[in-house]
Amino acid sequence: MADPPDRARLARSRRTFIRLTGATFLGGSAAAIAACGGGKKQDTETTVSTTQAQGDAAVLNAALELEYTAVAAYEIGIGMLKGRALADAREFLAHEREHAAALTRAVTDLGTEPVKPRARSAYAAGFPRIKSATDFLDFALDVESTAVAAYLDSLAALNTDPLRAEMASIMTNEAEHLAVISGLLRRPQVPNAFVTGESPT
Amino acid sequence: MRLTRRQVLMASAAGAAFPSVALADDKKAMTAAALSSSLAAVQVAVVSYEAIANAGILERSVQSTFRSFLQQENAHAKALGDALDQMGKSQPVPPRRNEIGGLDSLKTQAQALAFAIGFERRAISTYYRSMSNLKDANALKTLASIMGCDGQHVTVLRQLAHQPAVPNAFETGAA
Repeated sequence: MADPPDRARLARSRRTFIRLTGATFLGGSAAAIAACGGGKKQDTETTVSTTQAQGDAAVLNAALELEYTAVAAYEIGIGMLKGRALADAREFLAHEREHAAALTRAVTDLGTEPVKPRARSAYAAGFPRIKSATDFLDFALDVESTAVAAYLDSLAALNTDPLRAEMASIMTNEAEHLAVISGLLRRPQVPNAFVTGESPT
Repeated sequence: MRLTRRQVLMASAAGAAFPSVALADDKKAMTAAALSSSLAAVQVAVVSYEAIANAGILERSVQSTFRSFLQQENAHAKALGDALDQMGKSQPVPPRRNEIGGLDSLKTQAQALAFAIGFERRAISTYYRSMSNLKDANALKTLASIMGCDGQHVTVLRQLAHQPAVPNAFETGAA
């Protein structure tokens, strides 16, 4: 494992990359669809303007780009893992793909074109050098943590009522991933009473 | 009777202002209701974690986990209570131990873990349902950050209970 100063530098560069990836997250707000994915269909439907719908689509598209980043990270890092960590990472990769599919549907329902994933090499080019399972788990922590922060920031920007619930359900799932990965790294699994997505590294 | 031009203008202004006042009141009422129902769910967790941690049925490491989660639930209760206070709304009265069904009959660690998973999931479900109604940015962020923490609680509890840690891609608190 890298010594503490190296780890801190690596963590900074990881976060910088991920933030750049999600820089457009807070574009605007809302729309009029039932739900983007996992939860039950809501009874109430909100009516929002076209501008609001476009704003919501921008927020969702930025979230989608973050999910593509997470998918690429897990696809690349999974080969370094074994045993429990491998099983968990496989599961989390499946979850990130489900999030991406749900967000794609939601953006489409808003009448906007969902962003397409770039080639895996394009994501990999921006990732830090990952030489070990620990390096990858550290990186996965940053990816998940950045996603949590982005989802949290996006909630108030969404005008479509059911979308806020669905985004919160994805954010909570990412927070759960964080708890498991922290455990694999033998770090406190629930270090704070309020999950904000601030990187623990 | 003919209205003066000033009366017409005043009536028109009142009419225009009323919907926004009503909307603001509506938003405040929905925020208060969401915070209140969430606080009630947290209060169940506080009372339950405390009772279970003191019941002498947990292994030492699990007891330490429960005490840590109790502290975090107390922090959630304070944040939600403070938010309600700032709105001038009253806080729900915390339940007594004997008002929480099944709490007093827990005899084993496995039962305690299953019970805790249950009340954490119900709390998450409450937050999840509140999200659609909340429009206040501060309340949304507070509630979501608490929802994330309780998601982490339930994950650790599932691991301790030897269940799949994160069984679904969307955490709604549903079974």
